Amino acid sequence: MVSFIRTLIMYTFVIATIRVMGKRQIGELQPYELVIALMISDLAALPMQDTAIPLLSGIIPILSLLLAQLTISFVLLKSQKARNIICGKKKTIIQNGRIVENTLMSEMYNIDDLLEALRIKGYFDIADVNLAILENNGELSVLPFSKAEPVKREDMCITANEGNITDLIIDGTLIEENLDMSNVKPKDLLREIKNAGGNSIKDVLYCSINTKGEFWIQLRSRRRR
Amino acid sequence: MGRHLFKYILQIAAILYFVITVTLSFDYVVRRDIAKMTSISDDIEQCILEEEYETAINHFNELNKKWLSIKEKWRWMINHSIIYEIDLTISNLGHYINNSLNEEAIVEKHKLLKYFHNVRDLDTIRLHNIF
Repeated sequence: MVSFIRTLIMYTFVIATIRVMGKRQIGELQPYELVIALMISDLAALPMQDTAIPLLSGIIPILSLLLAQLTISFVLLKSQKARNIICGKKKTIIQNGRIVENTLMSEMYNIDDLLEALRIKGYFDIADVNLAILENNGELSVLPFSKAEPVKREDMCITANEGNITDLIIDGTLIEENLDMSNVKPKDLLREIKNAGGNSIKDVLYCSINTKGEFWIQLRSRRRR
Repeated sequence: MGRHLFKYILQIAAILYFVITVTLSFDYVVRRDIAKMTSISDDIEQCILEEEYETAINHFNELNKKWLSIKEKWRWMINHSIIYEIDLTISNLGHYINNSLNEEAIVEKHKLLKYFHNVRDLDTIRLHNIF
């Protein structure tokens, strides 16, 4: 039971810590963030499984890491030089359609890694790639030659509605701020729901409106109403 | 931008304040408790050497009472296995004093002091503790 409670406390604490660290921690990690994420998971696991270790012995090192992370983030925010040292610099790996071998060597990135990353980006023929940059978080950014670029609306002189979709009802719950923002009156919404075959907001699984004022409604299955 | 910088500085300051306050105040409490326990155990040793067992038992009761109150605080920061070891040593010390086993009691008292000094020295900022 003690172990259970300690685990819940550490879990909550680590979630709070990661939240303070910011959203980048969850997705694309910089090297210094990855190190902290790995270390925190280990530090939190120890007091969870061993009840002889006081919780504070896990919490203080995690707070110290958080402190280091916040300090580094603060320094990175203020100094380009620090960003280059701590995060590294972006490296050009393909330039003018030619692989830059020096970058491959310095980043320990082999041809297979490069081809795989290009395929993931949708470029199966390396001849289509004009410029490829290896970003600090390990992602590859690719600029194709214009012959390999997909056709855009602009190229075809086609204009499209730049409209936005606003959610009005999600799983039977009305999002009132969106209703006010899209200038829809509740009686109009109810009329649309009735037209779709429902009786009330509770019957709606999802409802949205676009900038043209067109509703999209899907009702819940009868069993769930 | 200014608001974000302020938030960063505030978070850093809050964490620094928490970590420093907790560690320094705990360090202070541990040193104070150990000084008190050392003084009582020295009194016990003196009484044992002079074979005044009645007084030694009184001092031991005082030591035991003090330990019961401080161990609850220590549990927050010190590995519980060290606390169990100290518990055991104090229990042995009481047994030896009650049975007038001088040498064993003195050995146990020195063992107890060694545990206390280990706890005190463990968190001191020294090179050999860091590495």
